[in-house]
Amino acid sequence: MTPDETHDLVFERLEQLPSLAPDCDRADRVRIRCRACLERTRQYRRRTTAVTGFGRRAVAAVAFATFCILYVAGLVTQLRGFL
Amino acid sequence: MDRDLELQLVERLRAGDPDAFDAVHAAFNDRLYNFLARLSNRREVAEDLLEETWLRLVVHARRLAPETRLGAWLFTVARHLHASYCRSRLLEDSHATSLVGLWPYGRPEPSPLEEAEANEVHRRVATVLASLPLAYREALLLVSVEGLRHAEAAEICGVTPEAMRQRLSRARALFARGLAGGDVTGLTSLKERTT
Repeated sequence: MTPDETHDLVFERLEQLPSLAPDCDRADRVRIRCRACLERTRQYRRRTTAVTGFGRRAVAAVAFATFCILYVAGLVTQLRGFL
Repeated sequence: MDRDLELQLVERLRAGDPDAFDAVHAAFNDRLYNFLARLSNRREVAEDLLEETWLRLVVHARRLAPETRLGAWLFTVARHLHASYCRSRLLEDSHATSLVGLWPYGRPEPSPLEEAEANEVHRRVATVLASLPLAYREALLLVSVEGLRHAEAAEICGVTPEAMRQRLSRARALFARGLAGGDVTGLTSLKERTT
């Protein structure tokens, strides 16, 4: 038997193998479990992102306000010196 | 699976989209089960390893590279899980042997997989496939049954494409000889490899 004939025979025989089906109920349970896990992770990430975003904005606002107050205070001090 | 669709699914999986997971599950669940069942020769083991494979995907979804090939990724994980299972089995067997002495280990009864084989030809093909050394069996399953390319199968098995081609060639020769009634286990010096 030539290598090509062997190749064909193997392919032919392996193609005849019946496809095995997994347990549908278990497959569905696993799928639902994985979906739930992904959903939980996604919600957690959304919450974390929202909290982090709010925190970042709050810090920026406070820093800007502090800068403005210091600037105005410095300005007022200088004006008092002139007067 | 279409490559563009695959890339979209990877992107959505990275974002944690459950619908993307459903699509991947529908596309690969039966194929992975077939691979694992033929590799392990046991349905219940295949079911357990399949579940673990999907859980791994969920856990690692965020860290997938954008250009990941899902098929290759899933088959690699499944293969690694099967290798781990084989190692743990080997350990358990060695402990059991040391406890009870020379307990004859073998397969005293046909596995559920064998019983499920419908007719004589299927049974013969499945038996010959099951009796091949693991490295040859997985090569045949990935390329000849799952239709993966040599390069993909090589990547999954962690060998070079050239080594995979050689392995396949030997596997086919052994398989053909087994079908003709020869002994496939005694024809090769290659040990059952689990990694």
